[in-house]
Amino acid sequence: MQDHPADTHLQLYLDGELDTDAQRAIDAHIAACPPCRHKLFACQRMCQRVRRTVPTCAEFLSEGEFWGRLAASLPARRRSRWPLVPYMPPLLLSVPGTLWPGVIALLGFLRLLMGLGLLPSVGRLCTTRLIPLLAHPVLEQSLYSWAGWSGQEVVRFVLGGWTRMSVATQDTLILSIALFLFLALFFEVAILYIGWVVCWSGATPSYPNRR
Amino acid sequence: MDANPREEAERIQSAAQGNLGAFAELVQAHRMRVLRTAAGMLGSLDEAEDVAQDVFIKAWEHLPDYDPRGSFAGWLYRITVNTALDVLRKRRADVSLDELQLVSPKEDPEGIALRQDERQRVQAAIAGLPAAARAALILREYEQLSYKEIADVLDIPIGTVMSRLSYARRALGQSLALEQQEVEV
Repeated sequence: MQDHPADTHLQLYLDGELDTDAQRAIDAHIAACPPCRHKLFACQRMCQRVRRTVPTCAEFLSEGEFWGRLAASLPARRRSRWPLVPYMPPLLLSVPGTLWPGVIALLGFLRLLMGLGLLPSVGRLCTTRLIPLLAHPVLEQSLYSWAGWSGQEVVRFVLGGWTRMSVATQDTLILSIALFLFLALFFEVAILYIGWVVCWSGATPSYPNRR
Repeated sequence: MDANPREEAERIQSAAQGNLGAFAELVQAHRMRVLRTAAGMLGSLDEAEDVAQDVFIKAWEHLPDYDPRGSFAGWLYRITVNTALDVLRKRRADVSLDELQLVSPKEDPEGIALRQDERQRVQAAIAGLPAAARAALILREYEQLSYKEIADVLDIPIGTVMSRLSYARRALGQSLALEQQEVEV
């Protein structure tokens, strides 16, 4: 070897991480090159100094004492863990990913059947149920009273807009709302799951038997 | 890193099912590895004992999640390094190096004096290294792990292990040489 080996090569040589040929090449170079030999020996000496500071078994608690302390600190029961946790991220991504096209196709198919008159229109069904729903006493006493509306005003306003739409638009709107709810449900589950995992993995147990 | 992989695998399986005796054998087999690594990282035997306790408690709790395809010792080293890094992060900023002694009070006074002097010098130099470089150096010099094993434990590429070790040794060499000059002056 004519050139001096790089410092990283000397380090690899020192740590026995080179292959046999490279090791031999550096052996030969070291034998013939006093500066590299000096550098290598200096590094070796420093490593030996570090290794001499390795604490021995006698400097720590005895095995019995160590185990005694540890056994007293071990929790009686391991924290239970839902077995599907490791599979949840792929499940969360794959299940909605798989369901999405199915749900969209199903809603599109339902819309087609409604358009052909083979299924009753959801828009018409909603129109008949909208008045009792909007004028429900619970809404009157909570939301409407808080906003300062009366039930009749709300019914008049919503029905005015609703009946101005064609039945086809009403059907499409209802199915779009169903799709939106499905999506919202998925996001809610995902957010709850992420929150739970963060809390679950971030929880650090207390170890009362510390010195 | 493992002496008897089959026996150890059986012990791990048994301990994962709640067998405390099997876990005690695992602790016995790996206690010194954990203690040495923690002591090297923290520069304190007392703190190393505490970290080792925490490491084995975590190991006990998470044993059912342990992937038997990897090395158990490597798994413990990873928990040890991470726990020691947590301790280093939480350690008070005003802890001086004089308080950190890698010397056991159980030794005789002469031995303490001799070892304390050399150890304190080296330990002070190691304590001056960044935590990442320190972890690589301790795993290499204290535990004699190969670059591949260190890479697995620290979850970094082998090239990074090489550069961290190179940096740690260079910095340590400079620090010790500087300190030697000061002593001579």
